[in-house]
Amino acid sequence: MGEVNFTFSDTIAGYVAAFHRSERSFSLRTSDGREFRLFLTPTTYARKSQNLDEGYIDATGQMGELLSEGVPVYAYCIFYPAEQGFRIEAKSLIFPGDQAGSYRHEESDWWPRQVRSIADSYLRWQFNYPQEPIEYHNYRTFLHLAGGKKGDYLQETDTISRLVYGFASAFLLTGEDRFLEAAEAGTEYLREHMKFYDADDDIIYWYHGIQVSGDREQKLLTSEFGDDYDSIPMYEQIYALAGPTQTYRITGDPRILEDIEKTIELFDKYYKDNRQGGYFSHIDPITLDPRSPMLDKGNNRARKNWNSVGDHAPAYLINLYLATGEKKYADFLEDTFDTIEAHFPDFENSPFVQEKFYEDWRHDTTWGWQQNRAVVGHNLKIAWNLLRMNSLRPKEKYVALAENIARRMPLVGCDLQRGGWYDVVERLREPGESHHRFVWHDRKAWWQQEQAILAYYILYGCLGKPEYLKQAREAAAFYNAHFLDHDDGGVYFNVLANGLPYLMGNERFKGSHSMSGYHSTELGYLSAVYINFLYTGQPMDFHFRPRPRGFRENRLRVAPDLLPAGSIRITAVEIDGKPWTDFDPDGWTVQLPDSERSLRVKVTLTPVCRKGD
Amino acid sequence: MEIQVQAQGSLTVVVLTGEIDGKTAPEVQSRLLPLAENGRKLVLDMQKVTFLSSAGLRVLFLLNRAASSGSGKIFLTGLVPELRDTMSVTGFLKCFQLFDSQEQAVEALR
Repeated sequence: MGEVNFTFSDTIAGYVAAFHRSERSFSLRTSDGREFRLFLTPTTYARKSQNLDEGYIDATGQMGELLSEGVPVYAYCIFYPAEQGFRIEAKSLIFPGDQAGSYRHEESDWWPRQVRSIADSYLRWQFNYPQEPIEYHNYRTFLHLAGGKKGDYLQETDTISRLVYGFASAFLLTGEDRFLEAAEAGTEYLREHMKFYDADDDIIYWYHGIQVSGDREQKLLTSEFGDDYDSIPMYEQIYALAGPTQTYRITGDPRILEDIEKTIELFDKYYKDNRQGGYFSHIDPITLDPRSPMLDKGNNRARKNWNSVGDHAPAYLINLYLATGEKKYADFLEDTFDTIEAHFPDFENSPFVQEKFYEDWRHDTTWGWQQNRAVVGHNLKIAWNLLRMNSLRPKEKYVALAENIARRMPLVGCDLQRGGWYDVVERLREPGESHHRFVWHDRKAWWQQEQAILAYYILYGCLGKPEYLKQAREAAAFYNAHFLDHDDGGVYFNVLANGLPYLMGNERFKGSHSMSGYHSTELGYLSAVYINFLYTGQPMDFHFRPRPRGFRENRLRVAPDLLPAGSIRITAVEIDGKPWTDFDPDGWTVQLPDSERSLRVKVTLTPVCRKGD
Repeated sequence: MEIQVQAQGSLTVVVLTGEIDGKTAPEVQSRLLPLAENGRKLVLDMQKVTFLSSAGLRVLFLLNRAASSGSGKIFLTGLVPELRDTMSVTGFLKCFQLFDSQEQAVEALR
């Protein structure tokens, strides 16, 4: 074994333990308490985390003050072999805040501004807005790093739906008309071009997408993705509802609700396993049978997975419940989380949940790329959504599982040296292995950071344990320091373990199947909600545009998420710019006036108390 | 369900007779998908198709996609007014290239 007697560079994330002014060095304590001595050089430079659409914030001249005890910092260093180990010289520093316990991403308007910027970038990239109108015929699935179109003519249902979700979320936070216009136009486009109404069963399913060629379009009934080829995967049907549902929360357009209801009919009729619980992951495109031998081609016959069982909740079902208050959707959510709690934990064998199943819930450890592997973000997503559900129908088992995951994940899924959360790892360690092995790489994907940020902020907001706040802050600080693309807009897909963007192949794109403004805006929307309402105690405004005779009983439901009862109140409502008093402050509803046109509704929600009060 | 397949030069003409529904659609799929995938132009004579369910429509979409993945194409001929109306109302008609009759299709595509 050769000696490590060469130089290399890497990031250390931590908290300043001491600044040694005379030596031009400082001690940095990592999240898990290990300490490193770092030396400054004449060319070391520093910046503070900046938001999208915000200028560079140089902090080089302030390093002396910023390097004080407890201040969080990311130090990109060069390691020089020395007599005893290494001499570590910091070449650049990023400060997420300017004092101990201060984080820029906890500023009350940080996340709404970020969401606005991301949504504006997609308006510009996809439609050349505002120079040209918002026309989804011009939408393309793939966008280069700088937003340029790649030349494909594919329009994927899910990808449009995800972007629609982003626009709708941007409107909810800002009330700016262009975002609602984009959300409604996208929803209409999905309805006209991507929807298959099955008159035989009175159900709806959604095409995988269309190939656009001039004025002609070819419908793609089955998935074009390798994992799902020649089938109709549940995952795609679920995400087809993400954007329209978020738009429905704003407008109450009954046509959207009808589409959603008929798609849920599809789920109940063909995907649901009424005998053994849960939902199948794929159905045959002709017979709609989840047990069809045709599905053997993709190893998808009679299988269940995280996406088919659990993704209903974050993708559309929670938002549908928030908009309608319907008991049947609360029941559906409860069944979803009871099923997750019953079948996903596998802590006797692995710190990670089991994600793939046969129809009788035996563990499937043979499927495709997943084998016996864990997606770190799925574990965090379960913890996050269990806490949401616990506000709707509290159960001790929801909190217990969420906390069990939350306690285990930092030790096996988080990079405690550099910050950030990993991607896919082996669920089991081989004898002698100290770390779960990375399946492909040790890069960090943007959406997995999202799951950690939301999981730990809501855990802290609901349960108040300081270790969750620490994880939440570290995850959000890493994301905001490394994932924002200040040159071209939007966020990066992946960064290397050290936080530098990874810009090769598919991961260079801004508009791929999974990007498309969904996770980044969901993160922004819900981070604003959790941080302002459950932690820092800041009020927020939300914007709606209910249509005439849209919402049932003319009642607008304005809960921004499933939050603990009594945690927030409506403190003001304006309709068309004038104060309106007919609202239930603790039931989070507004009784709308009769109107023949859409109303502009602004609702101020105020947290009842802040943590620590 | 009856399926007659005839090669006519570079074209394959398929005469379908009966109802294409959830029961018969898998048979149509298994017989015609290999033809659609081999890159030939496929003329589906629908004159004697009396009913087309959603499962039947889904088969048509699959065939269309399979054909266009290679150098093939699908053409529909002889749709009876009821089927044409159903496909028109539900927006499916514009997804396919149509001819009034098998003869017209064969003539135009030679």
